[in-house]
Amino acid sequence: MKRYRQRILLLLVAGLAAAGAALDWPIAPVRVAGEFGTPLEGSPMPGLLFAGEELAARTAGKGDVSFHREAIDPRTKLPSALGAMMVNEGDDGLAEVYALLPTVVGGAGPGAMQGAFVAKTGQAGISGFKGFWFALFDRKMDRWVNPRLFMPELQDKKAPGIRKVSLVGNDKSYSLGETRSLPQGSYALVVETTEVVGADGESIQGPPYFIRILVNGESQVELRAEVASTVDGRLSFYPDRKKGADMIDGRGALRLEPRMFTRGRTSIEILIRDFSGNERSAGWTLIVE
Amino acid sequence: MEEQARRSFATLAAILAVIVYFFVFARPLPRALELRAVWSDAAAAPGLAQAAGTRASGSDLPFEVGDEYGYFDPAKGLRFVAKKTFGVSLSKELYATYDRSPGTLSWKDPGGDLRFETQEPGYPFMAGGRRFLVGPNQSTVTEIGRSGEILWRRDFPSLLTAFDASADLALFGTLDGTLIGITPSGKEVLSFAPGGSRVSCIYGCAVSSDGMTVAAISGHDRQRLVVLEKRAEAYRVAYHRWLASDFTRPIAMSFTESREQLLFETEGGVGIYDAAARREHLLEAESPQGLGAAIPARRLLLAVEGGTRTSLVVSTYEGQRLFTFAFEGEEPMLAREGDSVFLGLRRPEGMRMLRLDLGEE
Repeated sequence: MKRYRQRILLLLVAGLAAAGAALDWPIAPVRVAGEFGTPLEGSPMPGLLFAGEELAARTAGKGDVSFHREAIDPRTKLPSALGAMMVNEGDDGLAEVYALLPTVVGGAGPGAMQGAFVAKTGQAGISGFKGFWFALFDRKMDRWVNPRLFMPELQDKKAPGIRKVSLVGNDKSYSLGETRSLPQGSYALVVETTEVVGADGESIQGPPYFIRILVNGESQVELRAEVASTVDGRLSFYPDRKKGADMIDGRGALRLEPRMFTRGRTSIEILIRDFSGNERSAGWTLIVE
Repeated sequence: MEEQARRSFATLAAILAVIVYFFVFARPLPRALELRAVWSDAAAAPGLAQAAGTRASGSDLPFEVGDEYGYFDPAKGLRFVAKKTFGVSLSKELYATYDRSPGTLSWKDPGGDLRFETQEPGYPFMAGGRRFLVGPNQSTVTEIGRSGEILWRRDFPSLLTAFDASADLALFGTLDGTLIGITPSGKEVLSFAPGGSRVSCIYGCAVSSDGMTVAAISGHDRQRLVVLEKRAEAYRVAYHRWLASDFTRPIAMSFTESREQLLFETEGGVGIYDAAARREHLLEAESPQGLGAAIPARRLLLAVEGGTRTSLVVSTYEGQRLFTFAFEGEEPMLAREGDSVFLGLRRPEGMRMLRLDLGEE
């Protein structure tokens, strides 16, 4: 029942996106340096990283500032690893988070219009990332939502890359493409993918928006990085999946639930797709002994 | 003649009445409280105090004033002063300084000796004798043990916005308006969403030193104070009230060491919640800082007033201002030990620490 509810919500979200984006890009020019789930200092981030210094970060939607703080605030014992941050509360129950900013003093206040100045981007927060982090927290569903679902379409014709795929089990890692055979057993598929972000071909490692895995021609798993929520004290980018099944690790690699590989010839095909619809696929054949 | 006798009698009666009043109804005048300066110590140059061989020890108290931090001996003055590169987390037992992008974190004792190092990415913070790291996403917390070992690590549902801790309970407030309490073993013993406001968020939280009472200021459009008490195994709401304030930034709040009073920033000054009577008072003050210091033996509260002029305010538990001690300096720090009050100040010529003793005259 819960899964159906979530699918209906995702359909609604997709419908909204198709009808016309509810939010605008919070920076111009738009240079996405990290997709939903791309790690920062080993922590997968449930939002988008935008690169660029001395640029104006602006509110993606109209709203009301509900929280703001500087990196170090004497009123609280809690430091901010995300530097200065601000939260703009939209009418639709989406909280827009603007973080990794040098300061938010002088930024948008109550009743902020769409495009209101938030802060000048720079180097802030624990990662030293030059840019800022933008995320959407869905207050109705208590979870993070991929901002791409609400943003205008971005012209992108570069396909994502499959950097490395490994089967990990029995304390050993078998890199597909280099391994022709492996012993029968339970293995987790670890997929490392990249997304091209710069005009010069610069790429980042992070999970793809969509991944489909076929084993011996049968679809084993289809995942979309659209929401993230905490399950048993752990942030999961695929909360619909069973506990601990599939996860994004600190390097941005997708680690899938271990599955049994029995004796014989086994084919593995992987298809990944970015948010603009660019695809890449790859396949391997193995002998399981 | 008769008239004169009557007048003399009246005069005599008046004098007698005064004498009788003086001896029979006399009451001693109440002793006036006074703040007496005991010492004032300036940090001439950061690091010099330690270089001179006066190493800080466990009996010294930590301070952080502006971009300087260190330890001072309550009896003598500054022991160790250093300049922050970015941030510092201090307690009586340990301190850890960090750059904006720290790699390895070094946790040192007040004497400057390395106690342990941690590799986990994050900024350190301490309270209630416990050590924590907040991760790069501001949602992950790791508790560090006495020897640097990881006690627990968990991701919270949304960004962390507030924190306080006692020895038994670490209390976290989140952007989604939930209060979560964690024991040193990592067990979640409290999860409570005050709700009721248009926007849910925890702006400030506090936990008493025995971990039995917790409080939070939550919500935007309208904001409220919620106090929970531990009864049997669970925390139950003991008090709540809608506030006139509607801050959208972190709010300072703290229980006094004796757990009798909860102090919090509110519209017009410092809110004082009497935990025993479940009653509130207001200490009118401008930009209050350094909340939580009190002298329980005298039932006095201490706070620093910022704004146009910096001053130390001494008030009763009911919020009645007894006296104000104005001083020059910015970014004040307030500490207390016994009847001694310590004020750290940033001045143009450098950081200065004062010890003021409260006495009666």
